[in-house]
Amino acid sequence: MDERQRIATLHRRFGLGLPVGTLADAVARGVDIEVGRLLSPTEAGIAPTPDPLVGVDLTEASVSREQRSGRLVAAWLTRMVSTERPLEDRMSWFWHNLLVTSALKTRVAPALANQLRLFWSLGTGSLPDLYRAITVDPAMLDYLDGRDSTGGAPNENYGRELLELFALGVGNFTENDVRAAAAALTGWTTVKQDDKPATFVPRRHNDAPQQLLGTTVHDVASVIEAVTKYPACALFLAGKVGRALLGPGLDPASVTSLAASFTTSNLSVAALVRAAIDMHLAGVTGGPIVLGPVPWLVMAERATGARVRDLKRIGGLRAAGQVPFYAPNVAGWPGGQSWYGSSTMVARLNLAGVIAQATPPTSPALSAAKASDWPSLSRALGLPADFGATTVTALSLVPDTFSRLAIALVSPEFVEV
Amino acid sequence: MSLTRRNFLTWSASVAAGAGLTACTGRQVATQQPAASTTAATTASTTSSTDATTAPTTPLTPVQTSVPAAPPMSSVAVGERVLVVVQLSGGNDGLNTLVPLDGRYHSLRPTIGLADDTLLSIPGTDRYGLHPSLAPMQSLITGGQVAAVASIAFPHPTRSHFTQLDDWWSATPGTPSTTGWLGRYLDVTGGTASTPLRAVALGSGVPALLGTSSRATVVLSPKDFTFTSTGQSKSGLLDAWKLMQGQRAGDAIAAVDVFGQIKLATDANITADGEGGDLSKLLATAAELIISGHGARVIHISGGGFDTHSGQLARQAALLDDLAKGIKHFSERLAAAGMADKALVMTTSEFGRRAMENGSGGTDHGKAGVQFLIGPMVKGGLVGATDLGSLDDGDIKPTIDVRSLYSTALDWLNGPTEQILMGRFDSLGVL
Repeated sequence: MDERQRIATLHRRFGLGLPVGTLADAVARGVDIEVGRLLSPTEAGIAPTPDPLVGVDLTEASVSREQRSGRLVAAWLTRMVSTERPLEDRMSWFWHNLLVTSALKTRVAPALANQLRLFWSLGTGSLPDLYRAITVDPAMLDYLDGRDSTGGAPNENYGRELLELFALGVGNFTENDVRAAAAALTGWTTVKQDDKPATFVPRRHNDAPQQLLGTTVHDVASVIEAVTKYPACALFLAGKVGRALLGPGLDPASVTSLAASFTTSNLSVAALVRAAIDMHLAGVTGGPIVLGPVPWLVMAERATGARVRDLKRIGGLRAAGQVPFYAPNVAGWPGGQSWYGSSTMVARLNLAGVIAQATPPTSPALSAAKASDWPSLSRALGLPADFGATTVTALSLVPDTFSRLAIALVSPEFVEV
Repeated sequence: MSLTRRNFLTWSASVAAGAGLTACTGRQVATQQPAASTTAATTASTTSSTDATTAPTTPLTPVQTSVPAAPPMSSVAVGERVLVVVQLSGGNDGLNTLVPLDGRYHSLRPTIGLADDTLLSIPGTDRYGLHPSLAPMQSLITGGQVAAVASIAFPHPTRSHFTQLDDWWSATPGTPSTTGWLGRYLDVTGGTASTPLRAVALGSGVPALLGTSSRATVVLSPKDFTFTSTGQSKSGLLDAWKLMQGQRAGDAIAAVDVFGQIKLATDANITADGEGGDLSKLLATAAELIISGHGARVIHISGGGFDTHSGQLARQAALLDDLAKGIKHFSERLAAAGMADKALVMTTSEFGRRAMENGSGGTDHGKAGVQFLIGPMVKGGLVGATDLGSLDDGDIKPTIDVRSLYSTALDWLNGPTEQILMGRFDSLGVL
């Protein structure tokens, strides 16, 4: 792997791709500095990303619920496109797709916004901190029914998915563990149409000691401690993070190695990501990652300098099958090869046309497309290598500049990381 | 590469298409002996008839255990039949879908139980009633075109959406597979005349359609499935795209063309009477796709929202109403086109829900559920029974194997059923 490959792929796997025309600068700075800029932006002198939700009215009664949610979606997309600290949003996107809450059920946009802020602030911090917070997060309490769960008749929804989807995986817990977690987590509730923090109502709580994963628990703190200290948890999260960042086919030995780093760090997500970056720099890969429509759109806008209007972004993403906060179910988006379904492919091509049209005339990507200079186009777009022969042949078939850029954006070289 | 994120990994003998009749595994019994699943179903029926004071009665249509179903009367050539699978994602609550008229039901469901006098009657039994929101299907039910299959699940149910879905998709319970049951059907019957629209997934892609040689067109939202002017008007763009992406782009271009032709008809017929939900809209699209004659053989429709841990009464009512309106419209459209016999509709859902309601006006994950087979070729009524006196850790106990449901449909499609299911599971005897 040459320096361009290592650095371009570093930014495409662990960040949101390099902004247009910055690949040469990044290569000149070298791997160590680029890793530092991703992992420790404050030390690297990169200013914090402003909260894009400031000034956005998520409660305006005169617009529809979908419009209020749409404002939230638009604000996050804008932040992802413009951030200079992409790892924060890369990991927030990871958590959003793991600790899922969907606006299809949870309809209070300010509560969803608060959950996103939680990912921004804790997404690379301590796993137990994040899991304690998400367990009593009002949007999550609504989505997985914790807010309605009472000591007398606990609702199993959150307890089951905490163990199965969020922390341990199938085969690492029993039905008794589900019941124990559900009972111990009762008592936290919210007002349905409110974005206030959750409140603990002792009379709704079952405080009886429960046996969970071989330890005794009775409340949120003890449940999260039992779950995150259980050995399967570090391995499960190492697998999730490792496959998301290094590739879906990451080998078990590498996952075990990541889990060891994660455990040694007392479950610091930043340490886990650092270990995955080290693996990437050592040449470890789990094969190509097919970018979902959201990270692909974000990378395409960053790589071209285009800024697509909110409605076009969201409409295109809806047709492609991936809108933030609208995951199809609690397992998130299926991902991988499903992004080669007909609808997604067609919608991606349509969106690529929109992005190309919205690319400023000064963009090096547009200049390269206009000049049919394919090596320059690949560098402008922050790709790790020049386009392959098939893509070059395809690009050469297209007479106009915008369509050439669109084809480049849906090429396997751009869509797969 | 697997379509699903979960456990849909390498199945060591991933040669389903070629494995043929030798692919039986130890889990199945030989031909001519009742499969375990059907034995259980028969047992449920027997139990109910010997204990008629407390348990539901024998179903209207006895389960056939060894005699194959007679060839159905149909004007449609077997090779032109279409199976429409409707996935109720989230785990539809079977106990409030097919309600046993049994005092224990109301003890289990004190707040979300449906009043006996609101239920729809089912021909041939006075011991069960259907959810009142299925009323749009009433004439199909009364007309004997709807078979309700009770207490159906795969062996060893887990209460997990995702491990259960893996079973429903693969039909190889407990064993990971790279192919789905419908993909295997498409593989072995595809020949060389495969068209991209032979298998269509509407609403969501689905690993059930994964084959080794066959392919499926995935249309998430039919109204959005089009090339915008930006894409279409640029000469050379689609040619370049096809050159770069190969067959899957060619398939998508062909599918967009067909959907563009059928869309107007769909819009005219469905949006006229107001708002359809996801399932009714997708069923309308499916009807037009079949009528348009582009060679669809398997259509898979997905609609979500059935994971009713809370607020179940209103939500399930709305979802079943949408389903029933979609089925009604679908059957009317096909009948009007003279194609009523062409399509069999089957529902699927990953599990049934807990018998006892929770404290949130909902139900948690359970085991066996209720599914439907619908169409003029169906002998309507009830198959199996729901026994509230013999729950399995609080869940409806499975007595009918999902593969018996699949066998029924695959036999109607002219199989080869045993090859696809890798063993024999006697059909439900309703076709």
